[in-house]
This record gives sequence, C-alpha cells and structure tokens, in this order.
Amino acid sequence: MRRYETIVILSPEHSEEERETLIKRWTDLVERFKGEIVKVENWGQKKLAYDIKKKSRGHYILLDYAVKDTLLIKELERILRLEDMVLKYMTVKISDKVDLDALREEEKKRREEREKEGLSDQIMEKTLSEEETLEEEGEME
Amino acid sequence: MNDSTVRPSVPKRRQFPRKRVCRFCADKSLSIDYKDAKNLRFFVTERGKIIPRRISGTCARHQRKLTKAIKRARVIALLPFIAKTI
Repeated sequence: MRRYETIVILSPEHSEEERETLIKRWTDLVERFKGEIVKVENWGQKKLAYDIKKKSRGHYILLDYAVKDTLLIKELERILRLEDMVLKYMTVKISDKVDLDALREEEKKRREEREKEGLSDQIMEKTLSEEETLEEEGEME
Repeated sequence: MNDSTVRPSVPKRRQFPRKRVCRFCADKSLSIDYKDAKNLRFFVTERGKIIPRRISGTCARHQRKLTKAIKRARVIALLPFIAKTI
C-alpha cells in the first residue's frame, strides 16, 4: 500500500457543516477504493502566505491515507478540482510500502497521548480503528 | 582580497557561520517537513528566498530535502514565493 498526504485549502466562508460534508465525501471515497485513512487533520483557518482566488485566509484540511489502487488519487483530485469550495490542493506521496499494523499502533499511541494531555485543538482525527467512526475531538479551548 | 566582484546586498539573516556542522546531521531528530512552516522559516530570507548552503551550513543532502520542502510549502501558501519587505 502506498501512503499519501493530501492538503486541501478550503474557502474560509462556508459553515463547518459544509466542510464536514465535503470531508465525509472524501473519506467515503477513500474507503470505496479500499484505502485506509490514517488521519484527518483540521488545521482551521490560517492566513495565507499569498492570496489565493482573492482570499487572504483559508481553511486547511490534511488527509493522510494509504491505498493500493492508485486510481484513487486521480479520482480524488478530480473531485477536488470540481468543488468550488476548494481553493487549492496538493497530494504528496509519503511512502511506497506501508506497514499497516505499525501505523495503527502509532496512531493509537498518539491518540492516547493527546487525550492524556487533554489536547484537542480542533483536530479531527480518524484512526485506523476497526469501527471506523469519525470522532471529532471537539473544539475545546 | 580575492573577491573583487560586487556582491548583491546580503540578506540580514546571516545567522549561521560557515564552518558549522549541518543542523540536521547534528541533531538526528530534527525532521524536515513541508508542513512545518515555522521551522522552515529559518532557512528562508526575509524576502522569502531560500538561503544558500554556504550560509546556512547545511549539508548537501539536507539542503536538497529542505529545498523540496520549502517549495512544497510555497505551493500550499505556508510560505510565500516572494515576500515584500517593509
């Protein structure tokens, strides 16, 4: 399985719900291609280093996933291209081989650490858990 | 005495002396990540240009990785292509 990271910059307007709908669509797509989602991070709004489509702030989403069928990438990018909310995207290959079990362990550990420290700064994570439920770690202060 | 050519103005960020060891080789735990704009900023001038190896002191291998990361970060608007100085 190959591991990829896709960063998507969304327009800062639009509601959280609309964003979530989009993200769900993408995660479903990954699953449809029998891929595993390693994590989904929501970095929130950030000031852009330069204006994109005339906007100076953007909402960053990070998708970290592994898949065997690389056609997923094409499909994902096609969908991203068509979506108006998406200002920019970039997909990067992280590795050619992936040890899923090791990854799962890592993700588990990271989640536990984060929960211990009580950190939940707008990071929405989806780990390689069997249940595959999208857990939002809330927008706690 | 050797160099009589006029150098273009050197960016203010001449932080790293030349003979130093590469930052990343010295500390193996430092990772170069295009998402990490905060740390990448050290290797970029005020105008956003990538600092040459001879000034930053990084080794060739890490400089190449750095460059790749910086260029990626620029695409994602985490770093500017050109930054205006005041």
